[in-house]
Amino acid sequence: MNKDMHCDLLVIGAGLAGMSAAVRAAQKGLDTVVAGNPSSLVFASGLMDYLGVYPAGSSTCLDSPLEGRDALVRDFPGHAYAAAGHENILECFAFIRNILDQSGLAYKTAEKEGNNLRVITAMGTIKPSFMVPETMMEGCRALARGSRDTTLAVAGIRGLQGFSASQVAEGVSGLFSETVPIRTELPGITTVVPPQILAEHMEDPVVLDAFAGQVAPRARHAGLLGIPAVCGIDNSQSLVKGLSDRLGIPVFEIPCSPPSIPGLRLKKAFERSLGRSGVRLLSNTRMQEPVFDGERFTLTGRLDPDAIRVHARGVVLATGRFFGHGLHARRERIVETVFRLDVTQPLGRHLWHDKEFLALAGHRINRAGIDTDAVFRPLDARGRPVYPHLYVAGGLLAHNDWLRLKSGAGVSLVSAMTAVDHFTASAGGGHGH
Amino acid sequence: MVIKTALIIVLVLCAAGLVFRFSSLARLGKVFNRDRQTLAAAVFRLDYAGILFNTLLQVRLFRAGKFRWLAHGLVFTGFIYLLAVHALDEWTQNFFAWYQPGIEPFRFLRNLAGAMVGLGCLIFLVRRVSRSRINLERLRRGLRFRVRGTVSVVVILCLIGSGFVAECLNIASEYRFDEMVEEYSDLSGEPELVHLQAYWARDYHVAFREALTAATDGEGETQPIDLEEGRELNEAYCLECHTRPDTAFVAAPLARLAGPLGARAGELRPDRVFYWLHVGFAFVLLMFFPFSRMFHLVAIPLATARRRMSPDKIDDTMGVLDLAGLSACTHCGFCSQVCSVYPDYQVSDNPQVLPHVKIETLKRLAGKGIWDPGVVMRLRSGNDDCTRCGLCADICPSGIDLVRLWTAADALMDRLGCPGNYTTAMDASFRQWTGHGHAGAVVQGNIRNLPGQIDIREGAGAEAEGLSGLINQAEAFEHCVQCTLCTNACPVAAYDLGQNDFGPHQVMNLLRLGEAQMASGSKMVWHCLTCYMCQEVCPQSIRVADILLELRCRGQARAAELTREQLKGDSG
Repeated sequence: MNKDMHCDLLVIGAGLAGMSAAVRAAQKGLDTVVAGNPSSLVFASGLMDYLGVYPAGSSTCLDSPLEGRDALVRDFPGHAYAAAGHENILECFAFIRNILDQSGLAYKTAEKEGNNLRVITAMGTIKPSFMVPETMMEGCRALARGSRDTTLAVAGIRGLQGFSASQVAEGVSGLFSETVPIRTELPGITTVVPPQILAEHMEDPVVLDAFAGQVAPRARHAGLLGIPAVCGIDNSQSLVKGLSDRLGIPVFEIPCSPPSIPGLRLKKAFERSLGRSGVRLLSNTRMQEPVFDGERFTLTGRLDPDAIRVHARGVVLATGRFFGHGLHARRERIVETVFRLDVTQPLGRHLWHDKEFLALAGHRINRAGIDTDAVFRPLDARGRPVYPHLYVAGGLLAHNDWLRLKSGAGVSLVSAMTAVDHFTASAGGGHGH
Repeated sequence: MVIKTALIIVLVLCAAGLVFRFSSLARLGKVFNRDRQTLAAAVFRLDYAGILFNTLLQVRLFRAGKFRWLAHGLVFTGFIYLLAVHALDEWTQNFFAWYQPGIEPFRFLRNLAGAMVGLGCLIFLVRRVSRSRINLERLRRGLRFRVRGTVSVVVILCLIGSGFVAECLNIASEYRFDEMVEEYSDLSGEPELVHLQAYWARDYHVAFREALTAATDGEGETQPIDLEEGRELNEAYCLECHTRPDTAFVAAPLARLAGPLGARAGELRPDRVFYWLHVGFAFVLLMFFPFSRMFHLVAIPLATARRRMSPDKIDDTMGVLDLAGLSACTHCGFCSQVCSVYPDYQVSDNPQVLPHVKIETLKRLAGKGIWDPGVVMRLRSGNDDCTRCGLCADICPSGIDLVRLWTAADALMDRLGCPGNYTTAMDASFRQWTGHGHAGAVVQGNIRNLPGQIDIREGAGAEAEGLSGLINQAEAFEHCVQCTLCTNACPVAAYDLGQNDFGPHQVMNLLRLGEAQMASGSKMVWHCLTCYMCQEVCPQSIRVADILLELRCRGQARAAELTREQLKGDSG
């Protein structure tokens, strides 16, 4: 069975960039289709970074993204931030914060506008970020105002892999007057449980009550409690607040390694938003075989045994890097998987990686990606846009070592929204079919 | 004399057949986990109203199918009349002092009864040939089944047909006329005889070879035929036993048609030939009565005599396999038409889902044991699908307590060592599923030392058709990055908080390690709800749920193979 779908804008990829493009397009009144796997958001930490580190490998966190931004743009003139102004990026964060707020997921930025937050991680490290879920905010506040006279309690849960209360307590012990690791055991859970299942379990009042009951005696003298970010899925804010009220101290969530519950919450919030705004989501569908007839793109999504043909006037390509299958490393070179766009990359395979495997500054392959113009349209060999309404957003962009620079969300948001805004302005809104 | 001797022989054979039938039914009847009293209670709790109404009036059949009830009624009523008044007239005429086969109303009634039986049998035959509601071809019922179902009907039709032909030839036969004149009158010559002949030729349809134009008296003088005198002679000698045959509405017209032919056959006495044929068919019918479809005449009253078990009593009697009831089945197929799980048959193509097929298999199973493990396993599967809703027993025209049979069938198969499907599915590990592998040892990595090693990768599970072969294609699962999203999304894994089993991502990893056998031994494969959440969230687009399902299908097919082999070994 073949099915045809017509729309103004097709967004390929359902990660942060794809979802942001979709909600932006819906807000602009475009008839939008998203094709991709929203579950890729479960690999996102749930934190939204702007620029936390520069240069790559530097051991200090930037207090404000502005501190490194100029250097970044100078060193990499093709970077997404070169085309977008600071105010523009702040506006993108505000937009997505507003969208998520409407979907019941609150995000917070630093009290001093434009500054980074410092977040305690499950590794016991401090990570700079720009915008974090409300449930993580108390930890950031404590670090921001100075916490040397505060006692931090960290509660671990037996059965949750990748989170050790002792490790966190040990890692941040220098930042607090005292750190107290607490071990808890939830009823019915005796061994390793996947975090999502644990998070669902935590929504059960009986379970949460047992958790609070075990934490309370040991956290009595603490001024702050950190818990792993598995405190419910859909109602995390009220659960954390309830916990805080009961224990009488501020409680915050600590982001864990993937699968990440804050990422899952993000996914669900985006899905709710898409549902509200009438964006059609082709879940877990990979779009292929692009055809451009001079006016309209047609791509085919395979859903065994069916195929769906999507006809769109514009396409935002937000397929991510290697893990998202936006890029594919062949033996001799890296290719872009959908449109076969030119990939800016080291000239030979021997140049992909530094000699040191764990090089702090990263590898050149980390900066491989698609070069674009100022509105994120990919360029051909002569430096002209390949198609008037084909855009690239997010991790797929060149010069974007977002992992090391802590800049993933900022690049994704600004590229996605600039692209959608340009499409709206140049191709016009409304239905083109 | 010859007839009497033959009749006695046939009766003895028939009685012996009945004894054999009943004793074998009693022998094959079984009681499972119950004492003899239970059997007695089940067999001898009588339902007098059931016997009366269902045997004589066939009320159950009337409820099930009006047309079929009509056909049965025609045959049954006609046959009973013929048996009582026609076949056994030597005894029964004591009750009707005026009885003569050749006078009214007996001649008419005989024709009527014969016509009723013949019509009913024709309806049966037409229905057999044209019946399409349960597609017999799909059930792979060959010619044998159809022939077996029609033999009795054809024999009855032959009996009735030969009777009518014998009667019509008898009417038209000149030889028979001469015999009767010789025996019952003192008429010996012309011209009176000629007058009578002429009268009989006109009114009684006797076909004379020579044209009766004139009578010649003793002096050689010819005089014209005097029908008036013939009528007077008829009144004097014949009328007491022979009224005009026109009321024999089947035989008389036939006589007018066939008379000249019979006359030509002459000395061969076709009337006698058909008379003997008629008697022969009656004997054949009688002799094979215990082994033919006709047996349901006895079995149905037996079956309906049992009081049907109320649902609250069924537990007490479920262990009783009542073969006498079972033999009342006539394969009419009403049960399968109303069967609640008929759609199951349409999907699974397993005829052993259908009640009327199950009965046949069950009869064989009770007699022979496991003669074909494949069929018995299908019966087990089909009987497991049965919901015991009782619709089959409600409609059964024979009044068989079918629900009791289905529970008894389970007990019988248990005893014969054919494992049930659902009990093992509940246990849900490959070891328990098959009774062959050993899941504990599998997890400890000793799989290669296991007896009856389960190889689901090559060749095995060939029955699992329509599978896409994902587990044999490395590219189907090799991209798994063990991100655990599938296990996180899995409702079965969420239920298993004690983590007693593998999650989907671990099953994928087993495939990557080349341990498909171990993978199919994991409970995850058997517990999978096929909700497809795992497949939906997989960032690598791996068809996780499809793979789990395929592992289960192959495991199931292989388990069935192993069970079949084991049953073969046990029975052989």
